[in-house]
Amino acid sequence: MDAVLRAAVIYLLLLVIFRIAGKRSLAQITTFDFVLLLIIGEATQQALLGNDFSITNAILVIVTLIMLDIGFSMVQERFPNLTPWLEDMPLLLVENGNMLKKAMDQSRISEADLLHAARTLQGLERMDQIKFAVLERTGEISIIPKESG
Amino acid sequence: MERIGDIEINQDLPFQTRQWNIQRVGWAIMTLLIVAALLGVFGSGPLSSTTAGDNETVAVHYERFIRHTGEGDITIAVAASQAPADEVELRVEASWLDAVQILSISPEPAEFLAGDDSHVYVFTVDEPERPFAVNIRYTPREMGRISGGFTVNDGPSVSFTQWSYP
Repeated sequence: MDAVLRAAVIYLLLLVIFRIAGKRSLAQITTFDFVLLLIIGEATQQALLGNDFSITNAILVIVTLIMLDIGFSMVQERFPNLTPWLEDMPLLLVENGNMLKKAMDQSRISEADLLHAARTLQGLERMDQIKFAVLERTGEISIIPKESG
Repeated sequence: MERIGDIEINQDLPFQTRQWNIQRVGWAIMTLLIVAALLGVFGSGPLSSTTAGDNETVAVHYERFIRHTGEGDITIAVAASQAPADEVELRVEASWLDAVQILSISPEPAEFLAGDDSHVYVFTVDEPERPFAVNIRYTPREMGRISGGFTVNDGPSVSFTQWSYP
């Protein structure tokens, strides 16, 4: 009983915390973001397992987490209106080379972040080469270049 | 699916704005949580450490807020006037001993007498008429409200309540 409750509580709390933090928080932009993710995992692990390191406990926790995940996706299929709340929505950041300032500020994305994504994903050099930049639900920035010519 | 220029995207700006507002509220709540934690609302801090009883007779220094399976520390300070003999009897409510697991008691009690509603630890004192303190390290086994009480030598009794977070 304990293991299932623990897993459920942690799952829901993490869901709420990361939705509040915004999609940019876990996007692993810098090395430090990655380290942070590891530390968070480490901190969660203890609370998930408690003092019980048995295989039974581990399996119960894993099964609960997976089933919650499946359950949530089924709920979303049934009630599509819930999806934005649970998984966020994509957001336009650049339209035809023009940065959409409000969207960028509110999502904590700088011009440098955009150019970084443009370089690494599309090999672009300047903002005016970007047709669209979208902040995806995963926190990644996707770039659509202007057609050359 | 909405279409902006050439791109098909299920963007919803009113929803985004609402979400941003909720996020700001969430950040405020998390900031408050951190401040509360620094102050000791979730254990170990100025708001948590407190004393029951009084220094003239028996004072119990304890933590108001503890955490399930965390570690707690409680000190029972007995004034000189309350320890006239070379033995000090510390009566502990059984309800408290059921709710926590004792990790260590210092000094070591010489004797333990189990009772119905309370148990008694007997300590041998080197010199009577001297202030005497017992320190108990424990870990809460229960969550929620935990109440306890100590009685020294059938004299003054001090009771206290703690809150054990999950």
